[in-house]
Amino acid sequence: MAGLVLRTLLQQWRVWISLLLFLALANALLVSVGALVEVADRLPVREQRIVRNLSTPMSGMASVAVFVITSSAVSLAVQLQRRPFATWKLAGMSSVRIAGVLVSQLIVLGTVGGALGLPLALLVAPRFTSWVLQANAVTAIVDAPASTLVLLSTWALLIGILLLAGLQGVGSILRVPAVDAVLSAEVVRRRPTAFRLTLSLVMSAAVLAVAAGMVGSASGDVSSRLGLLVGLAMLLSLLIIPLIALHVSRIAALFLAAWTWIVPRRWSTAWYLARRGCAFRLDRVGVSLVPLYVAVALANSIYTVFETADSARRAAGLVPAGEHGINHSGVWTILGPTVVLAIAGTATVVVMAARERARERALLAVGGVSHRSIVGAVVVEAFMYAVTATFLGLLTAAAVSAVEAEAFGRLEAGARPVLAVAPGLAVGAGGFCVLAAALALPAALEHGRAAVDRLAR
Amino acid sequence: MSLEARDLSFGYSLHRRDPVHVLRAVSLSVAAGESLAVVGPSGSGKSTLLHCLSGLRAPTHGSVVALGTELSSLTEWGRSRFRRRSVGFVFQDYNLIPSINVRDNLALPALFAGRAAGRQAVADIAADIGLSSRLRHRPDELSGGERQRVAIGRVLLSQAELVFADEPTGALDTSSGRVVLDLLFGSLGPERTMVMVTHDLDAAARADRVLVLCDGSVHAELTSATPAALWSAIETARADSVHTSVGA
Repeated sequence: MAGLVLRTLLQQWRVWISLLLFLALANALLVSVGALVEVADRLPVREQRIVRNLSTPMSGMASVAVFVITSSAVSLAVQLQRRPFATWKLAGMSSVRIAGVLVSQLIVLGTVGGALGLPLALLVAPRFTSWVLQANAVTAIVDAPASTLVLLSTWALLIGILLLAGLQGVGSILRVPAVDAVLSAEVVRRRPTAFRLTLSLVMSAAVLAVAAGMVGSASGDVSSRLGLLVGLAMLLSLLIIPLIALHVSRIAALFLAAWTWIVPRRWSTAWYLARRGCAFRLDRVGVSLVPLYVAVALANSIYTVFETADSARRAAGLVPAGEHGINHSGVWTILGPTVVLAIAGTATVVVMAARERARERALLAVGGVSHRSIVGAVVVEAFMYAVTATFLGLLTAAAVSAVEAEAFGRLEAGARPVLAVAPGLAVGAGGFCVLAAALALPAALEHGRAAVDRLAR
Repeated sequence: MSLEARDLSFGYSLHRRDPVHVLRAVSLSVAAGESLAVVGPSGSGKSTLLHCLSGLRAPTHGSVVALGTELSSLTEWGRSRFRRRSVGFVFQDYNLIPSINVRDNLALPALFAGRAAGRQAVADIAADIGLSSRLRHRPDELSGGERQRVAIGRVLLSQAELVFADEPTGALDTSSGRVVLDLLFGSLGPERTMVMVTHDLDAAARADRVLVLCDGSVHAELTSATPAALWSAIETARADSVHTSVGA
C-alpha cells in the first residue's frame, strides 16, 4: 500500500507539485499568524488588545482560505486522477481501498508540504510579527520566533484541513462508476452531492443565526455594541464566503454567460474560445474561480464592514470630525496572509489542470488556430475569470453590507451602508495578472513544438 | 497536382542513441479530387507521413508542395493559416473541442478561416451526417461513431480542399465505420483530395490508389486494389523488410 501511494504520487507529480508548494506556503503563513497570536500573551494589556483584534480575524480568515482553496484543489486533483483510480477499480481494487490510497496520499502531501514550509515559516514568522507590531503602533519590542507548539499545532491543523477537504474527493471516488471514468476522456459534470447540500444547509443556518444576532443585538452602550457588531459582521463574512464558494461554479457560470455575451462570436475568435472554455471548466471543474473569489470577497467584505462601522461611529459622534476612522494598515494586516494564500491558490489550481489545457490548445493548433490567437484566448480567459470573481466578490460584500446596514441602522439612525469596491478591484487586478501569467506562460512556451506531439501526450 | 512530396524523410534520436528513421525518402503525388490510402504494418511511418504532408510536422529532409504552396517555406503562422483555410482532419480519436457543443464544433473551422458558417449551413450538414437532434450536445455526450461524424461534418463545412484522415474507423464498430466511410468518400469531388491512413483494408480498397508503406519506405503502389490484394502486398512488404534487416 505504501509503495502504491508513493508511486502514484510520483507518477502524477504534475498534478500534486503545485498543491505541495501551496501547502508549504500555507504552513508558513499559518505559523506566522500563530506566532502573532502567541506574541499577544507577552504584551502589555492595551497592546495585547490591539494585537488580538488583528490576530483573531486574521487566523480565522487564513484558516477559511486554506480550507476553501485546499478543498478546491483536492477536488480537482481527484477529478484529474479519475482514470488511474477507475483503472484500479476495473482491475478489482475495492473503492474503500482506493479511498484509502487517496487519504494516504493526502497525509503524505500534508506532512511533506508542512515540512517544506517549516524553514520558510522560521524565516518569515519573526519578520512578519515584528512588521505587524510596528505597522500597528505597538511599541513594545518582543522577540517572536514561532514556538515548537505553534509549529506542531499548525502542521497538524494543515493535515487536518487537507483530510477534511479530501472528504468530498473520497466520496466521489466511491460514487463514480469506473467504466464511465475510463471511457470518458473529459471531466464529468459535477452534480450537487448530499454532503454538499447538507453542508450548505448547516452553513446557511449559521449565516442566518449570525445575521439575526446582528440585527437583534441592542443592549449596552453604543461603542461596545459597535465592537460586537463588527465582530459579528466579520464572522458573517467568514461564513457567507465559504457558503457561496460551495456553489460558486454554478452562480459564476450564469453570470459569465450573461456578461461575456457582449462580444459576438464573429468579432473575436479568441473571446469566443475563452468564453466557451470558461463556461466548460466552471461547469465541470469549477475550482478555477474559487481562490480568486475568496480573496476578492474577503477584501471587499472586510473593508465594507469597517467602512460601514466607521460611518456608524461618525453618526454616533465617536469619531472627531475630519479624522479618518479606518486604520488601513490594520485592515491590510488582517487581509494580507489571506490574499497571499488566495492568489497562490489561484495559480495552484491553474497549474494542476495544465495538462488538460495543453491538450485543448493542441487541438486548436491542429485546427489551424495561430499561436498568437491561442495565447490571446488564454489571456482573455484569465480576464473573464478575474471579472467574474470580482463581481461575485462585490455581490458578497453587498450582502454583508445590507445586513450590517440594517443592524447599524437600528443602532444609530445616521449610519449608512458603505460598499467598498476599490480593495476588491485591486485584488481582482492582482489575481488577473497571476492568472494570465499562469495560463499564458505554458501556452507561450509551446511555440515551435509540433501540435501532434502535444496531442499524443 | 494537389499534393506532392519529394524525398520526404523524418527521423529523431532519443538520449543520444542511434537515430530512428521513421520515413526514408518517400515521394508521392496526389491529383486534385483523388483519394489515396496509405496502409502498412504498425510502426511503418504512416501517421508521421500524414503529419508531414499536412504541415503538422516538419520533415527532416525533403519537401511537400500542397495546393501549390511549398510548406517548408512557410512560417509557423503561415502553416497555421494554410491548415485553417485549406486542410481538414479526421483523427482516430476524433479530437473534437470538448468545451463546445456539436453545432460549434461543426462551425469552428469555418469560423477560424474567417467564414462564419450560417445556421442553415450547419443545420444542412448536421442533417447530412444524421446528427440534427444532437446539435446542442457536447462531444462527451456522443458515441464514438457520432463523434467521428461530427469530425467529418466539420471538414464538409470548412470546404477544405485537402482532407487528411488518420485511422478514421480505427475506434468504430463495422457498421459505424461503414457510415463514416460513406460520408468521407461521399464528400470527395473534383475539388477535394483525400489522404487516408488506415489498417482497415476494406476502407483502403475504396480509395483510388493505395500506397503500401513499410519501415518508412514505399514498398508498393496499387490502383483499384481488392482487400485481398492489399493484404498480400503488406505481407510481401513485411517479408522483404525482415529479409533486408536480417541480411543487413
